[in-house]
Amino acid sequence: MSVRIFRWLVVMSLLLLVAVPLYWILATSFKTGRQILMSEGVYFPRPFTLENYLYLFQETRFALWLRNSAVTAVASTLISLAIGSAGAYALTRLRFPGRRSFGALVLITYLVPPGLMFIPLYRTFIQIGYTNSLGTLIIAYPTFLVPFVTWLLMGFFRSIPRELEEAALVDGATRFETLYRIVLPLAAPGLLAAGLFCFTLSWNEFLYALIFIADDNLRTLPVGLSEFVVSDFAFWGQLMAAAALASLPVVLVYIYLHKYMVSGLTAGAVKG
Amino acid sequence: MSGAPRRIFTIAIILALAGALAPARAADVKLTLWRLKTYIPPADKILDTTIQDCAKKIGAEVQIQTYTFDDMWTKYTAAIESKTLPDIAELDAVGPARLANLGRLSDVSDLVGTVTKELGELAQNAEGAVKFGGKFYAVPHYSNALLLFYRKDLLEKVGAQPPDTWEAINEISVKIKKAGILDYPQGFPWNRTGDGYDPAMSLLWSYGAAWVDKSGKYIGMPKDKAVQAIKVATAPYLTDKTAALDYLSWSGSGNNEAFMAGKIAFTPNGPSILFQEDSTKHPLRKDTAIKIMPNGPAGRNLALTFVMNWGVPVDGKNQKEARAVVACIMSKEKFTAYMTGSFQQAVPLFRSLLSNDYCKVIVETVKLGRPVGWPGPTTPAAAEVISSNVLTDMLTRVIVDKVTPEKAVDEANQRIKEIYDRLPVK
Amino acid sequence: MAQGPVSGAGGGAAGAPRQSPLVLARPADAAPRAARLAWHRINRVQERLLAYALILPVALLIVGLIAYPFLNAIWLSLTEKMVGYPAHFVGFKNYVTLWGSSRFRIVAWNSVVYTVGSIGAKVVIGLAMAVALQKAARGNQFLRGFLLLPWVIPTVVIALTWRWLLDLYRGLVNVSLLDLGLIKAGFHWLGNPDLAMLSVIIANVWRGFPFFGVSFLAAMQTVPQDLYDAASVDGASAWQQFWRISLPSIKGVVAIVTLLSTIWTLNDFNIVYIMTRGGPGAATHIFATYSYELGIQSQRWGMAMAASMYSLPVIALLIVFVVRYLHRDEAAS
Repeated sequence: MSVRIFRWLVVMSLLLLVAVPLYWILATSFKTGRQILMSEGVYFPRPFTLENYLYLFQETRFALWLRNSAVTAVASTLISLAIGSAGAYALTRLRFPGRRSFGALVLITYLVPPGLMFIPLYRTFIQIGYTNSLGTLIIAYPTFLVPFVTWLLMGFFRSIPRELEEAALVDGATRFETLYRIVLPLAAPGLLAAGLFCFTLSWNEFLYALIFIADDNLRTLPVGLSEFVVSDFAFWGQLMAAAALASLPVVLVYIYLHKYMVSGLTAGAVKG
Repeated sequence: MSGAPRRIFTIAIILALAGALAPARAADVKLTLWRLKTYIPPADKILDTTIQDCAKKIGAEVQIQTYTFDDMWTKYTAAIESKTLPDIAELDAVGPARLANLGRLSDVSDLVGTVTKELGELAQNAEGAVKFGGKFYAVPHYSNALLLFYRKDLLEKVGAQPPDTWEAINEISVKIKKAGILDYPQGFPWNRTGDGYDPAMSLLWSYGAAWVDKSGKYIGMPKDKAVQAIKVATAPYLTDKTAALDYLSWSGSGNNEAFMAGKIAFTPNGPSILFQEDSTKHPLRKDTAIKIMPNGPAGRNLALTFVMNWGVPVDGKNQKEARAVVACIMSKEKFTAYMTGSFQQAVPLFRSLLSNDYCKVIVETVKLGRPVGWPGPTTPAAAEVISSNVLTDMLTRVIVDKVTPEKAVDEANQRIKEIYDRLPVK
Repeated sequence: MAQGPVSGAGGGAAGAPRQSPLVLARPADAAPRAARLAWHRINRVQERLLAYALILPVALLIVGLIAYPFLNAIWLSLTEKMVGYPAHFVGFKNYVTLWGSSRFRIVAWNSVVYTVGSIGAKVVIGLAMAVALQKAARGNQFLRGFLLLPWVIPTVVIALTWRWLLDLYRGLVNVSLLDLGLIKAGFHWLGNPDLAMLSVIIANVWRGFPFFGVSFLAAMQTVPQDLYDAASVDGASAWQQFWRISLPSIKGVVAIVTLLSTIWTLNDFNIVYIMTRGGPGAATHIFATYSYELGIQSQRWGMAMAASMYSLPVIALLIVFVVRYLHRDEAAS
């Protein structure tokens, strides 16, 4: 009995904990500037207005930020998945000298944080002469995406029985063909999970996007959001509207694909 | 293919080739311009239109990038290191000093000469931020003066006169609290924004606690005077309890919002509060009053730290066109249109334009306001003292960490000295 | 080991006949030994080449964009590099200055408090969530998805939202507490130094607990139901079942998830930067925000790198744990 109460308590509190801030974002986004300033209709927008959303598309470059974030996130994800799965396959299936150390190296690099790397990485890009472009981000993001993807997929590949590949090899398929025809399809849930993870992290990334990009037209969503705080005035209504819309794509993706996320993550965690 | 279609096809090919091989139209000069994103979107629009018109006039294309006050130095830092400063850069009070010292700004003395011919002399203290070694490195354009905002209805309630000293502000706040009207009426936020470091300088300077001499070289804040100033500033937090700790973490908008929510009686701010109250027909508009920032034992030595200037960095490859655009932006017609369109929030830094259109208090503040690094010129070292928040940190050390004012002054002086050692004043 | 991803698939080539007339079949056992050895050698070479080809991109990434900048960071930390000026070598001066700086010591302490506080809360909430949603009840599927949302929403959004929620005069938290009559005056969530740390921890926990909960939950799914049934029969209470069965079984996942999150949290930037910028005073400054302040406001890149480097010993310890765990796992499988 007490178990049921415990369960109910936990579920209710978590539900509340998650729902309240989300509600606050939505509620604020439908309030007028005056309402927010004067704390009128705190709990429910009265009058209810769409002016913030309209403002986003008419007066700001919100659509552009959306596009930039999408391009960056998709490209980074694809690149990271390609590089990561190649590496993971090599590390789990192939024998070569230095395999152990290389595997450890990949994981160690995962521990070097972006909060430390933003200045030296920026200097590296300056040396190459390639800054202020979405490409800069697309190259930079894999630095923290690939190690995790590799780790996750290593766990996944390990869980695929070698016999399947060996049988195919005996049949005369090349290593490459087994990778393509057998391993990858079986690792699809893992790839999906890794892909979702990459997309989310890229979509949300703030620090590199703030520093590496100067061009207004190349701004990504997180940096664009911070534009709404203009020294003396925080346009909370528009900011929350932008926040709601900025979250929407990722949220939608997750609603449909979250179960892969879960199984992919845990397969990697449990087996990795 | 037969007959007619073939002929049409051939003609089409020829035309296409002709189009492809025809000499490309001479490429427009492309300029980049960085400007501050302000809280007055209509004024920003006017400026953008002006910039585009000016560019068209000289046959150039301008790409305008914006930055907010918060991320201005993030952008500029990145650009300084990657040598990609824009062709035209709108800089704040310390930008010209920093960039000029790095040799990254062009000498624009001639440009200033042209501008002053049309607009008249520069305002009294506008040179401090842009003139070094006798040369101008940026063209001043407007200032956003910091004023003392107060609730005149609350002052009437407790029978107080508008304050002219820092102590008076504290005293009136105590009265308001005792009368049970407001719990935390004293809204001076010694935070890491302009609302913090600007009054901090005014405070210290009005007690005679500047950290440099007239040449701009380090002498250290005189301890006794600095301690006196600190005691006055921290009393609301520590002893009077008329200021709430939360105020220390306000971002730039925090005090605006608190004032308009009717929770504080005093706060330092630019004229934005008036603008916001006017535009939302705020009920407190009739009770909002402004005054010039207070006097101290050493005089009314106000800081004028929100000044915007146009610089022309040397990185740009189109110096001539960039300068032409700046000259055009600062032409009488266009500049006055911009100033008029800013709802009196932006105050021109030219003597003859500081007229009745602007509130007397604002005009006086601009006339009296001194540049960062007073009594010396604005140097990169002075710039860093401000951007490293040494002064407001000194105050928060006393308020939050409960350090003694004497120790806080020592720490601050040490920090300032270290900065001046690293960035020697020539 | 759970059969997860494999069981769902069609079984691929498993059903194909062992022998096939296709090319390059494995030499028959009757072939001379030399030929067999030769075949193995070619195969191994082929294998190695493929391996190197596949790890080349990762290696390039690591060398060019991680190792090189990292070495650059170490070099920078040994110089006085101010923005716009060339760097000049100063040895360990930056490290010494920071070590002696009371402000930096506060930063280091804050980083520890922030990390330990957040991780601790996330572990507890994660376990509670996993236990609560363990059964495959009807609502649970929806809940698992819904409760994942904080982790999905951009961190910038989360930081700004919590800042707005905790606003002194107009934030929902204070307004509702006041309206409910539970408090007489609003809490200074972002102004009081202790409450400010609590606030950023709350935001971090809100963002991060789903990762913990979902991982623990899925790990718990692999625990066979019979264990629980047997324990019930023996009269074990729910708490005992959790403590003696669930927890030990998911130990590995708890360790890994905690490790990962600790690394991320220790160098977290967004939440603190956006909510408090490290204030009031330096009450919520952590390594990443302090390094940013040094780099951008004070324009001192050498010093900024030295400050970040101080977080490395902790990360290094974590590295040791991770590598050991890896080798233990390798040995086991």
